[in-house]
Amino acid sequence: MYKYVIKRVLLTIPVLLGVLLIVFTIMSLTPGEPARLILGASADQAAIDAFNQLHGLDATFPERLWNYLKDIVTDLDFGRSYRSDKPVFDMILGRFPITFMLATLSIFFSAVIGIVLGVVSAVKQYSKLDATLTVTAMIFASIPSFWLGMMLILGFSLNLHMFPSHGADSWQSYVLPVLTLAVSAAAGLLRMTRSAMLETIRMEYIRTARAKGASPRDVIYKHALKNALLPVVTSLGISFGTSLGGAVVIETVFSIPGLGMLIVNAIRDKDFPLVMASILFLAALFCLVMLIVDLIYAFIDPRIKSKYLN
Amino acid sequence: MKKNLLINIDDVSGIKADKESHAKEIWRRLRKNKTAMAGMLILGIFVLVALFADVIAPYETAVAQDSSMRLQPPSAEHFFGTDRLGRDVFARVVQGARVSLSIGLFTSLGSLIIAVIFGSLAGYYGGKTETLILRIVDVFMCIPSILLSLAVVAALGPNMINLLIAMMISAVPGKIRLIHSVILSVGDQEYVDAARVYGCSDARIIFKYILPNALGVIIVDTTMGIAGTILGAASLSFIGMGIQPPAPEWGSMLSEASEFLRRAPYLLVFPGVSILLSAMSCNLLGDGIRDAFDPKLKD
Amino acid sequence: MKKRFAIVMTLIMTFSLLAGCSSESEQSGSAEENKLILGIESELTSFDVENGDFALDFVIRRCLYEPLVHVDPVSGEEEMRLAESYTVSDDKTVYTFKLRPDVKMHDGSTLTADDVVYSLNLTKESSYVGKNLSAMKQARAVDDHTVEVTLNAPYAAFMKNLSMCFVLSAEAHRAGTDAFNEEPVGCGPYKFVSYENDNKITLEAFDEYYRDTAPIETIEIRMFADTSSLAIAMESGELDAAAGINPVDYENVVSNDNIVVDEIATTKFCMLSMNEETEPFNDKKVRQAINYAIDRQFVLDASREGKGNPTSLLFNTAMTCTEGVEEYEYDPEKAKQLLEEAGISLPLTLNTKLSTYEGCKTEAEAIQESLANVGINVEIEILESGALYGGLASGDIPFSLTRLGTSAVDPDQYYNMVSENGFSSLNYSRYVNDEVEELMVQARSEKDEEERDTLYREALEIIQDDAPYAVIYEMPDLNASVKNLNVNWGLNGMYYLYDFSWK
Repeated sequence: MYKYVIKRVLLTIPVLLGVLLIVFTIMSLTPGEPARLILGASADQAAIDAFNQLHGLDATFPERLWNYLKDIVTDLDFGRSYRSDKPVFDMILGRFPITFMLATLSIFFSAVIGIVLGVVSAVKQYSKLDATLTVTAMIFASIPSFWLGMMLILGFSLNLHMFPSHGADSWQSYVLPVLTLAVSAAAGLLRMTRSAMLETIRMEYIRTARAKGASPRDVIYKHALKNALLPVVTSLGISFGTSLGGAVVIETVFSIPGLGMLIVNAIRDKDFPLVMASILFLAALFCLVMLIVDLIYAFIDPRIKSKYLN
Repeated sequence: MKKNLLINIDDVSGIKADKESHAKEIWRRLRKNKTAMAGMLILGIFVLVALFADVIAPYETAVAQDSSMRLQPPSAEHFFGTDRLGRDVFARVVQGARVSLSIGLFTSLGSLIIAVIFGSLAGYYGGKTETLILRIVDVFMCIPSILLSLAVVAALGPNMINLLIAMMISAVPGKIRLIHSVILSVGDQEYVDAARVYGCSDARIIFKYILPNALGVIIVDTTMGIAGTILGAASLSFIGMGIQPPAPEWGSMLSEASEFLRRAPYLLVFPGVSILLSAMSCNLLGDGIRDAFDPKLKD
Repeated sequence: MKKRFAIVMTLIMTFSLLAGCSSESEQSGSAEENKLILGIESELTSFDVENGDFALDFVIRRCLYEPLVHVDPVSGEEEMRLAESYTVSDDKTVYTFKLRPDVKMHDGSTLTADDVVYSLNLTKESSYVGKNLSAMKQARAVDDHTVEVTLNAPYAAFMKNLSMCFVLSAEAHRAGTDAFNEEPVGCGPYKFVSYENDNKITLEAFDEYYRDTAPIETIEIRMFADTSSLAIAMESGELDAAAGINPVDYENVVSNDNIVVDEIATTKFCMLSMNEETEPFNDKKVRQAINYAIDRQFVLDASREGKGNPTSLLFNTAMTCTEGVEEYEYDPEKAKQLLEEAGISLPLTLNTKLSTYEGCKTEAEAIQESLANVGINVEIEILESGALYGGLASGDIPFSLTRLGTSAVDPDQYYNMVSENGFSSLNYSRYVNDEVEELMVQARSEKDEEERDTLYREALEIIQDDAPYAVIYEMPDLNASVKNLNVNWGLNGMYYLYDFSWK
């Protein structure tokens, strides 16, 4: 088991290197220079040249890439932000807790709502409840999240004054953003759970029916749930990863000072070090989450566990 | 000589013979599905609006400014009201349909073509090719898709073409995985081995025998993909990385509306509902198609 | 079994997560607590004196640090601060400042000439604020309380610029910029307490400030990412004051009886640049036509709900040298006539695009319409600021819409926009006129105020006739505050929280 874990962890390294290369390439394609943007309109050529020299921007692409990698490997130095001159990792870690909270809470609530309602919907298939839930899920899966967020602000903040519309100071300010994120994710989970459950129930039913004739529903449904959980767990893992990045739009709507907004501003500023480190960070986190998901998989399903143990 | 043998395979596999009635059967099932038909109807309306946009509300009316009619709520003269520059929101929504649906369609088709090429290479040939392609796909999938698109548009500059490129780059990796797994599952069938033995070229095998059997999955994914693209493009435009003014686009219209949340809340409604309905109709249709291809799942 | 365990775990997790969230948001600071909660829509670069040029960077500097002298931005009146007196050499290139001996820094040490020289050098080398000391050749400490500054050449506005240079503790800063930013040390009326969550700064009045202690004991600055949230926070009573309200929110904010909104004049303005080296902008008549074609009031209404001053003058209208200079009125017929005279057949579709950035999108769309009405069709192109400024500096962008502002209210600030020397910086239109150049250089070293005024007025009249730019509007800041707060928002965004107090 441990060998598998170690192997997977080691495998993430080339993946992260790949991410680094891709993002580095994309950022370098840009026609605008970070110097202009950061120093402002009135900076003259001399100041621009000085800036470029200071940050090694006048080197060629392979040279810059090599320098960047060297710094990371030797000093764990991911550089300093072009704009604020602060070490990028401090900036990322400073903003991360808020986004993490947002993502975790959303995933949690979306899981609870989505899975529970998905099971209910599957169990009570063809009932009015099932139909309502399916349609509702469909609507919420198609809703643009930023629009939902703005509608919630309009309703609950501006008209009813129940929750704050911005910031992340108190637990109340998390309510609307989490609700927005959770609802969209829950819709997808509901549909996924429902169809996974239905498929497993049918298989179980046929098998047991063939074997026994009639069988207690509990056994079937427990068994079905466990098997249906597999794709759902993967989905959850992926959801967490995407919500970390997807929180970007929500953070914009609700003015939340999180990692998403930091990255968007950094991309606009062409603040290379900050963009690179942020995306690497999120990618690494995502790989970690997928690793955990795979391990949970093995934990739940003994067939897979034995495959790993070999 | 070879030709005769090939005809034999077709008979044995039963694909060609059954194709026509198979398709009819699927269509019949789809027609019976009420929600899917509703989705198709709504999508159809949007497609018509997009195609005939210039007749319903010519481009000029969508960009004509009027200083005396700024921020008017919906009325007989301006069905959806006017925005901060006095432009008619209805005309902008109609023209916006053309923009959003084009992006959705072209992205889906473009990414499908690329995904078919690479997914097939990976699934069919296996081995090192498969590992290489899948690894690269994994790398791309580690980056949150919004950030990836954002980085691409920021790098290349915000305009329609670059938005298309950015959306395709986000969509392609997932599709490659899908085609790859489809080829793996379908490609195991006996008739494929048989075809190979009889000397069919690889491309022929892929396009004639494997992919058509995965058509259901591919169509469903493409349809749902259009919904995802519409939402994604709107999100990017909302952040300001999308279509250039004064061209109307639903996402950027919502971004303009966000400043006027209190002054003119009606500005929020129409572009938002348009995005919702167009995405939803694609999803409903996609769901229906999936059920139609594999009715066992439903009951 | 497993399921129950999982449920329990998740419940525990939820509760601990919720508990971990910070406490409820505070109520608005009341006059009783002698605390001011200020909201501002700005990012923060650093707590240094020279690193960064966001609005908030400057606000903080004016709280934590002191300048050598303070010069009133409009009257030019000089008030001694850290320097108790100064002398100027006969050739006007050497300024000698005698420092006050009794100035304490936030960490208890006393101010010395070393701190001043260190800070001046730091400022001069900064790419953000270095232009304030571009005239300075060197600064040195003659002794512990005397600083000598040598200029490259006589420069009339030197004292004005010097009043925007701040002094920090050399010793604390030498220890390292990261450490300094954790605990900045200066000698200003407020000292640093904390910086939380990347959006809340707390300052406290410094008891040993060399002048009277600040009237307000505690200051809490809350940073907002956008103006709508700022306005909502102000309206709902969370803030005592808000700097930078969006005109769109103005109505809502002002409807609250407890709130007062002041319009503060700034030097910020919005303008079109037209590169004279490209067609058709090489023809003066075309540039003038564009100036006549634009309905400035409409642009202002559409983008800023009318809050601002539609003007076509390049120099800020608050300055006396702009009095009497003729403006371009909205006259589309005259525009068409001029275009015909220039030999242009209408309708004309420009080869170049109108380049601008996201923030000026509405203005661009309105201008596009104005131009279309006289027969000129142009496409809009929204660029990232970096790409925009880069293109403007290299002369690749012939037609642009941007917003600029000057740090001082002084005509010399516009020099780089109209001189060959500004080609790679602010002279977006690549405008050259020898007469204007001569006038502006002469005015720079002219000490007599009235004569200076006349010179700049002459220059401006020529500039307006040549029309290298089409200025659209000047914009004020809209700052809100609660009724029982005494505020002094100053001019051009330069306000000192030291001047605020509760009634």
